[in-house]
Amino acid sequence: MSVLQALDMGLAFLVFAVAAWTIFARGAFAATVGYVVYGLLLSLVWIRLFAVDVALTEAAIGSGVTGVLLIGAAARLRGAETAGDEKSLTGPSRLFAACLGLLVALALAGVVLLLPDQGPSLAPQSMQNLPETGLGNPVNAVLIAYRAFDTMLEKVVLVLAVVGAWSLAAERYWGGAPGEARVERPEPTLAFLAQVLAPLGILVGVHIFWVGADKPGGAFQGGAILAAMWMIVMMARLTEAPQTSAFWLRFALVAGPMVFLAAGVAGAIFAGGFFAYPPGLAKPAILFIETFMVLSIAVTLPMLVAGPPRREPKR
Amino acid sequence: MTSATLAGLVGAALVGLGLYGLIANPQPLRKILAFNLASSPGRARRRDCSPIPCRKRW
Repeated sequence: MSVLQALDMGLAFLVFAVAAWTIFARGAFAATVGYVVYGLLLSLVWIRLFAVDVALTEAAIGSGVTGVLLIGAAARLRGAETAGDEKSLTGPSRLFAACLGLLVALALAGVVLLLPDQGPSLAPQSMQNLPETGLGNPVNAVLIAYRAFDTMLEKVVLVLAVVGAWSLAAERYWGGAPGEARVERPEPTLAFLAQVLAPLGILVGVHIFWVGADKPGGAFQGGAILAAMWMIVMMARLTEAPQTSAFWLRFALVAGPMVFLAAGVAGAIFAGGFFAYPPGLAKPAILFIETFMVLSIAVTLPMLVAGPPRREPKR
Repeated sequence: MTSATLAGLVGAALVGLGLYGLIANPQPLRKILAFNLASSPGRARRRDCSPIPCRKRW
């Protein structure tokens, strides 16, 4: 067994063990922390499968942003968990669930083993058309060129998620700021971390976005890192979340999908197809769209984590 | 056994585990965790843009 194989086996065991912890842990908080660790391990698995783009997103979104949201939810539910515990399943139904899970796992494992070595592939076509997009990273070509409409709709979903979170606000808080007020003396350790990490993180985020054209990276990952930096600064309470009625905030939220959609319509007029790019101008157009998408993502994710407005709007 | 096959087998086990957690855990937050766990192995290939490992988005 080579070193890499041993590494794979160890990683597989770890992933499974942490996943089992997430399911069987006693408290919801412990399970959530397990889930965050699981996400980070999974991103290592994606790297081993040479899917660096997936790994980056798994670490940033699957583990990072989702983790912050879930840990926040688990912390809020802590009191409720002990007070009104729902009835857990009894022995026989638990056994039935276990059998069902085992059966599905075995069936899937069988299918995995029966897969042909060479699956049907669109990779050659996508590589063939890559020069026309001016990009060097086929994953980004799929996202922004071949399947641009899907990506645009996903950005719309993100905006809808923020609208949903804001809609939970009480009437008198509408338009106010979410989260806690800024404090005179923030907690020193967290403030120090935010001050040191944020400038570096912003640099890394912009870099990841910029290299996305040719290497693993891109608007989503870069935007997620920028978002994380803003979140850290807000969590350290060096700055407070903006008023949700602020024009710049609302503009930044919708700028990405808006520019993307406008580019799609412009494609229909000038390039002969909805979301088509004019020949030779594909790469500048893609970078233009992506810049606004980075802005929107970097603003959307912290607003999701900050949650609904909890303070009265200032006049 | 290749890395991909191993990953596929672990993925199959994770789906089973997540399905069990989805049924057996009564709290909503635990159900969300279990559902996420069950869906995570397939997330990268849920679209027909495979086999370029389609970047998992939201």
